[in-house]
Amino acid sequence: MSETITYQYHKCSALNRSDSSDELFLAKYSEVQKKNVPCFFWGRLTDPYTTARCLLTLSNVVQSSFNLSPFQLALLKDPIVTAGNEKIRFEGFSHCAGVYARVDILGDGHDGEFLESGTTNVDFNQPMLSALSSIRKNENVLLSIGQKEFGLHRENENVIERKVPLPVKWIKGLTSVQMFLSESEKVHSFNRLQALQLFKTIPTGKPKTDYYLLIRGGKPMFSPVKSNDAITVGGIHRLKLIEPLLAIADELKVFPHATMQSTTWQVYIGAVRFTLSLSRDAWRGFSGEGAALDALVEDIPDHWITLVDNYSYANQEFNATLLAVNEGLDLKKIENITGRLSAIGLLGYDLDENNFFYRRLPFKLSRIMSLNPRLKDAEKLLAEGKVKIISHQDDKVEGQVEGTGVIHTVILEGAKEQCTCTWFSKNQGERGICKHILAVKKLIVN
Amino acid sequence: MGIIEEFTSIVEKKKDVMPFLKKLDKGQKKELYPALKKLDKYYSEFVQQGNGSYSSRGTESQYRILGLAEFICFNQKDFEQSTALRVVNRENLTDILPWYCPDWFNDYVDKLALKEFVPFDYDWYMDLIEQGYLQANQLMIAKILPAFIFPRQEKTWKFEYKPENLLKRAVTLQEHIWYLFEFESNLHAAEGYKKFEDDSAPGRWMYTLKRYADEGKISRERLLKESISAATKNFNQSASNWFMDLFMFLEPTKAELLYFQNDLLNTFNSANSKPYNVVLKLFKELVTDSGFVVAPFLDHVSLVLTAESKTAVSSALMLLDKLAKIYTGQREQICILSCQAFIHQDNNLQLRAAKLIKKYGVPDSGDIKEAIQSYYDALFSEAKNLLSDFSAGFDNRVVLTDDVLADSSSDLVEICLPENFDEFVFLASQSFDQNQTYHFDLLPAAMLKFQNEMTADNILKLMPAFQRAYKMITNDWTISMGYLDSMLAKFFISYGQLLVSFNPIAAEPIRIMQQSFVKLEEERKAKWDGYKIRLSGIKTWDVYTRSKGYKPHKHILLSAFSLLERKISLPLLSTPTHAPCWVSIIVLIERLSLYQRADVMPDDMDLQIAVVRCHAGNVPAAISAANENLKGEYRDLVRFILGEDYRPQKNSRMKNAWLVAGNIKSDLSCEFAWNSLVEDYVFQEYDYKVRKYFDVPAKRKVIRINFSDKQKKASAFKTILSKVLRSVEEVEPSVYDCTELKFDYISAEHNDIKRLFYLNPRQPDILIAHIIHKGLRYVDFSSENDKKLIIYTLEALLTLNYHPGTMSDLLIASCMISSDRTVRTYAAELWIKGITEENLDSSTIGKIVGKHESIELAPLKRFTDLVISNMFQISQKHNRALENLLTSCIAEMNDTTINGCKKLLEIYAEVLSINNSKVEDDRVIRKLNTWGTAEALKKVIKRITG
Repeated sequence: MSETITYQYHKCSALNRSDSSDELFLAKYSEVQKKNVPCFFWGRLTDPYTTARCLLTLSNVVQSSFNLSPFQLALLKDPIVTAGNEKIRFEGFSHCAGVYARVDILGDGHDGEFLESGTTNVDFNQPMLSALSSIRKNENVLLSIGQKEFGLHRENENVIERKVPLPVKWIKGLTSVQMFLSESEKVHSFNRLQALQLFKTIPTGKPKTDYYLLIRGGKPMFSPVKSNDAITVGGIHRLKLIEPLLAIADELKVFPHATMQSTTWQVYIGAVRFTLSLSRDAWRGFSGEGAALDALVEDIPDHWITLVDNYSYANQEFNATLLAVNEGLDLKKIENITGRLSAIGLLGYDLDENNFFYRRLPFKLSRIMSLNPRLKDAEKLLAEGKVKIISHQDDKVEGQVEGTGVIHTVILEGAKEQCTCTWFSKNQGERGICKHILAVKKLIVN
Repeated sequence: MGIIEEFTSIVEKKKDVMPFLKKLDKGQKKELYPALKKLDKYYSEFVQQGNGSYSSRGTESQYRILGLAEFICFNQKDFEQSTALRVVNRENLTDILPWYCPDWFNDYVDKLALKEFVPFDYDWYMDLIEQGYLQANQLMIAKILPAFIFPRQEKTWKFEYKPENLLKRAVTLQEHIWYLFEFESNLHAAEGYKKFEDDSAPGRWMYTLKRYADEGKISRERLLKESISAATKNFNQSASNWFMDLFMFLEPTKAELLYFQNDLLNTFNSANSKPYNVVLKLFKELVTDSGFVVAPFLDHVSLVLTAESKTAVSSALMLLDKLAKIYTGQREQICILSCQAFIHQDNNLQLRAAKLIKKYGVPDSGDIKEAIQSYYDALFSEAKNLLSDFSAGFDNRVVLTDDVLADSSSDLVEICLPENFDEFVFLASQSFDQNQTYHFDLLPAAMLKFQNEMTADNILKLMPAFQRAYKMITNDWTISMGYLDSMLAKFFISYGQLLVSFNPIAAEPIRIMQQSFVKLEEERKAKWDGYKIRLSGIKTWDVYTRSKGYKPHKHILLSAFSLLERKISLPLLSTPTHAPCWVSIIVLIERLSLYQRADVMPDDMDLQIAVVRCHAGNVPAAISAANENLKGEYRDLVRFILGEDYRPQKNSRMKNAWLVAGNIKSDLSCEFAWNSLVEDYVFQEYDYKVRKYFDVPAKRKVIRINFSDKQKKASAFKTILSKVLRSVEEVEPSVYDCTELKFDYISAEHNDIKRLFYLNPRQPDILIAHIIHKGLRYVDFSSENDKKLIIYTLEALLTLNYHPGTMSDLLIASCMISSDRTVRTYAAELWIKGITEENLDSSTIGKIVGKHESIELAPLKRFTDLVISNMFQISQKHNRALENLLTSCIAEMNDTTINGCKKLLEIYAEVLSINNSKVEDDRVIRKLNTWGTAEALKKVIKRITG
């Protein structure tokens, strides 16, 4: 597997100023483009100022890192955009993959044509970002994702190449983050003042301890003291990324994960919505959490992917049952298909609509599938014959897996899965299942 | 001689390797590959030298020979992983590249650009590009260009300033110079720590850029634009500030500033405050100019009005004021925008914004009213008063409700002992991770419970836990490990050895594992004489400080071990039944009845700790259970704990248990005298000229606990207890005698502190005294571990329901002025909890803060900021308590004012106002009269005294 990915753009993204109207042109590139699609969207932005602020915040997320050296930051990875079903969504991760950000331009936020639906990388370059910040309120700005006038560029001519290390963490993050989102529920909704007040209580510096969101004297605040109904936020300084948006926000909603493994913060500004998800801690990326592992226990038949591809278009709500009915799949087998599909990068999650949506990551499937080291380790254990099922009664399974110098006991009982290995002992399943549990599960299922 | 032998000989004899390398063909290179890897490994190994020191086997010249061969033979991946980076320099490669350049060379160099150290200078890098070996990499250029104008003199190791170097190649100023503005480099620090031979003045890069711009060699317009842009990028703070300084150094004219207005506005998005503070200052001159871009400024001003920097908010309000004066049509918009400054809990900023709105706003304007109303609850009374015209009709009542007290008994979370062996296995494997503090207690309890189920199959299941225990003991110390974790691991492996002696066949895997770790330890010892064997059992365990503080835990483990040795199936008494450390009295009665029936005397320490951890719950049910299941002294003791009038007999076998029970019942706390003071001390300073240390007298501010009479301290409890329980004649060492925190430099004690608190959860004051003595003598922390010690202490206290004594008060008050914000917040939370539960005297806390501040132990600002952000407007009850706290604090402070007094008084005035109170305390009135002579305080004191 190549360690780098080369973005190939026909021209750079830019904000082209003219007297009558400005055009925000976003150059796109996807290594899995089915056919030559020149342009996904072309039309007017109803609130260009807000959109620009949100895209700048997204670029700040993408440029930030909470555990890497600054030199690695210089290699800006490009966000991906999904256009279709009357929505335009931009997604990206911080370098450390611990912060996920998405800008959703909803139906009222644009007035234009979706010439084609799909997902692609878009070039985010510094001059374009600088230009974005000069967009004012009440300006007339056109957005174009891809070149509308096809023919201006011939294939392989004047291609702008940008080589960056393969954003492994990104791709893994993009295949895991929706697992966290789909298990999150809205707990708080704050108006602009409350949101600003809350953010004033974020401590300076980079606190190593967890902070908790609680309501004190009617005001929301962050405190390092744990209390029963408070929301846990690790690496709280990362939240400051969305602070600049609060001054123009209508509302801020907070969605904690069911077991506080992540928090999601959605800022609503007119018809634009900014989502920021924080991983459990600054040193933990969404990429390494293994949230998607469970969904990968069963092998995915290739024709399912083809089916989903044929069946869906970008940003469309994903309905597993409907898919099963339409395509004549066994309803029992389709159970957990959403998990499996999002684990291979075919689905995203919308918290407000409370559903998965279709978007195929613009990366080769082979790359995506090769990125789960724990899964690979589990497969290796199986291949070497190191996994044994000792007993299998009702919903209780006891397995033994050879470790280094010892034999680990794995017990699966209902929803409870336990192992004697160090990883499990330390994390107690909070960071996904260990390779031993995974191997036992794979052995049972397949 | 074969290729490998020939090369091995070259390395050994340090001969010239070039002729050998030149003649290698592809096949020979392939042949040499594995041997080269082996030789590299062999020469890089660290070995003990003759003088006892350690260093790698190879010499510098041998590394060079190996490195050059690797450059010729290796692929990119292997070259990257080798130590051959050191051969990448002009001297070595100039001879090689003309006849061999690896196809991965360009890729390799590009990757180097991401590393901290690069072996290139700009000149050589550009030579390689020009010779076609490399392609220009912008990141690399940005990284190496800053040093290009500072060549180093080989002889003197000093640097020269040579800006003309930039003129050597046209591309440098045309193109490369701009990469410095695009990528984060060390441009801002390029001349730092360098000694220069010439007399050039600091700020050389700025001067260079300005000079070439003045000479027309680079575009001044682009330079100005790129400086602003770089200052706004996500560079680190120093770099970003440097670019802003550069912009100012270029002395932009007014026309230029007007030209770049939109770019300047972008600085409002900067993560650092300096760029926008500088720009706001520049705008003061521009704002009245007709060319000023009013609308874009108003679009952006929100970003600075809500910014962290108060100077920025203040400047922004001033600019808005100036704009409102000129642009009458924009006044309403300006007033609405100004409301955003109300987000700051700062009286001056709020007043400034309120004055602006009062000056330019129309009270009837619905939009302004609406904007004010959304911030109204956050307004201080002065701003509210100023805006009274706008707020007519607002609901003025700030609804603050008092927190409902949680039912403490319903909060108790049950701790379950493993039900079956599998659960025990999973407990054992995580016991050394400190996932829960009580795992320390659960592991021995579970071992006692399952001691009769140690079959070969079950022992096999425990092997991962044994492996972890062995690794924990023999590996290096980890950051989250406490001494108690090492103690528990040793206890566990001791039990393993016990199993080997009981049942050698079933426990064979344990014997093998023990052997392998013994061997590992012996190997380490053989390698290094100084290595101390770490593997040993629980019986010989001790902490290096010999602190008595760890004795109770060890005592309990030894007691469990003794039961295991004797194969007695009795439980420990002190194992918690409810989180974090409580023992239900019903369960204690059951456990005692088992001992009674078995006619086994409980361990003294185990019983004492069970008694102090006792949670009564339903008293009548407990009394009835005690009557039913216990007899004699057991029953008397339990009923005494439950509040009845019993006393020990002369021949009591549980004296200490009676003592701790009596002590808890009478709610005695341990008092120590303390003082915060400025003391003289002497430190030693090294004088390099005379090469000697000298004593330097100095002063320091400290908190001192009086531990002068250690004997007295140890017996203080016994004296009190003897009075409570007159019949007691002599007392064995008790849990109180073992409360100690002993270290010169904190190492891992902080990771144990919670478990030390949970030994005696109802009387934490003695341990707190030791913690203050060791960890809070200076309110500023000297290390991360010191800070953790205090944070974990405060966390533990928050989980306990106890009556705070003087030491707790001192801890809370001192933490309120600590250098760490988390610590301060915890202190505020303890205050909030104490006030809610009505067991904390707020005046005492205030008095301690006041005493600390009478010598200005720490900046008063820490305290005032904490009050505003965490203690103000919690509930009506808390507001009243806050008033008491501030009253006592002010009364205790010195007659001479210190920095921050004004803010303190402003808060006091605000608290009095919302409580509808007046100053009645004579000491405070006198203090205010004294302070009133200071000009800066006159206004606020007048506000307080009315």
